[in-house]
Amino acid sequence: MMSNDEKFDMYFFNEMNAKEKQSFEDEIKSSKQMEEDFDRYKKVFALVHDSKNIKLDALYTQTIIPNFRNRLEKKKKLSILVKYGYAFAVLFIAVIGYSIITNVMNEKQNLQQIYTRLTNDEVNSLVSEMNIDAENYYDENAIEKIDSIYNIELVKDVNASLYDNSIESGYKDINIKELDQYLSDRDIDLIFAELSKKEII
Amino acid sequence: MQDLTNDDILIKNFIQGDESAFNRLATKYQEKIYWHARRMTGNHLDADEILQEVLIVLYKKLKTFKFKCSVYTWIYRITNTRSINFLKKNRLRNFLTLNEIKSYRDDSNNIIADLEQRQKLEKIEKAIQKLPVKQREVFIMRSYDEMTYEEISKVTGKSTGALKANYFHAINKLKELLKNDEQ
Repeated sequence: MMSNDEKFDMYFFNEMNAKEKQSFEDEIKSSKQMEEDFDRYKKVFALVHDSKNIKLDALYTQTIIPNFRNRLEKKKKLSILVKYGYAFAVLFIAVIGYSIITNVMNEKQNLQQIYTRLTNDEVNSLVSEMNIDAENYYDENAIEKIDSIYNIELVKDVNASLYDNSIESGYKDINIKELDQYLSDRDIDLIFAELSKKEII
Repeated sequence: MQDLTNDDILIKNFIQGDESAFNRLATKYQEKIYWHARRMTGNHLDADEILQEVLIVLYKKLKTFKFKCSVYTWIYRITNTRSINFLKKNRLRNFLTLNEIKSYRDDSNNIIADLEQRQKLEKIEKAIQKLPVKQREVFIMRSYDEMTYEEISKVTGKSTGALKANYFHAINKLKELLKNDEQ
């Protein structure tokens, strides 16, 4: 069922046929509430109708297109400036990047050139200075930690190698005296303990 | 139909480089664009700003117009979208600057020469500005532009049911506002 608002709307926009119009007008006459409602609806539409075909001042309408053209010109100039701005920024970054890379490469080359000019004695002297410096940064805790990890890996390797025949031949080439200089007392104790466990010794 | 054909010719001439064709097209629709923007925003300055923006959009996008709908529908859609965006921007600006949203801005630009007409316009404009945007747009399209719900649906993308509901809410609210005004 259509609401009164829908009926008013169809009536005002001529969307009713003659029969529907007549029925609607009869309905309004028979209901005071509907008539009052319809009157308020008519007032809204009367105001709309009055404000519908208002003409704009010719002085204003004549300025619309010229103002639009001015704005368009300004936007075009601005977009050209923006494009040049971007191009300049890209060029600037490329130049900076290129100069940084060439500086780094030049420095590397310079270092290489310096190194080739040094005599053996000069190189050894530099290396020994570096070692002295390194000793100043000797970190006992770090060395211990590295040693403990090394010991764990060494034990693993010893265990694995005991059951690995393929590396047996490698042992034959090992000079024990030479090996000894690389093992600390602690390493030797560890190896001895493992070998004891395995009842090899 | 004649109008449509003329619009198509103007567009094709513009695409081929005839700037005067664009001017003629713009002149033909400038008042329709202005009045829709004016009714949405409630004041001349904002309407003028939107009109200029719409003309710039048309100038840039007309070359991509695919003739799938009438030029007028296309222009109307752009104008409606721009008007709604403008209102949202203004609302945000007012919120950020803690200004009260002025539902009606008085401007005496005298672009409407007749005083009586100006007064009638001010009365209905004040009332329309109190409607929420969704109700306002459908009320303007239905009452001022005499568009069917199907045509409004093509412009706004909303269903005819939703449009009818918004429209009748708008009418009832305007009835109340005008009734209070009289009292």
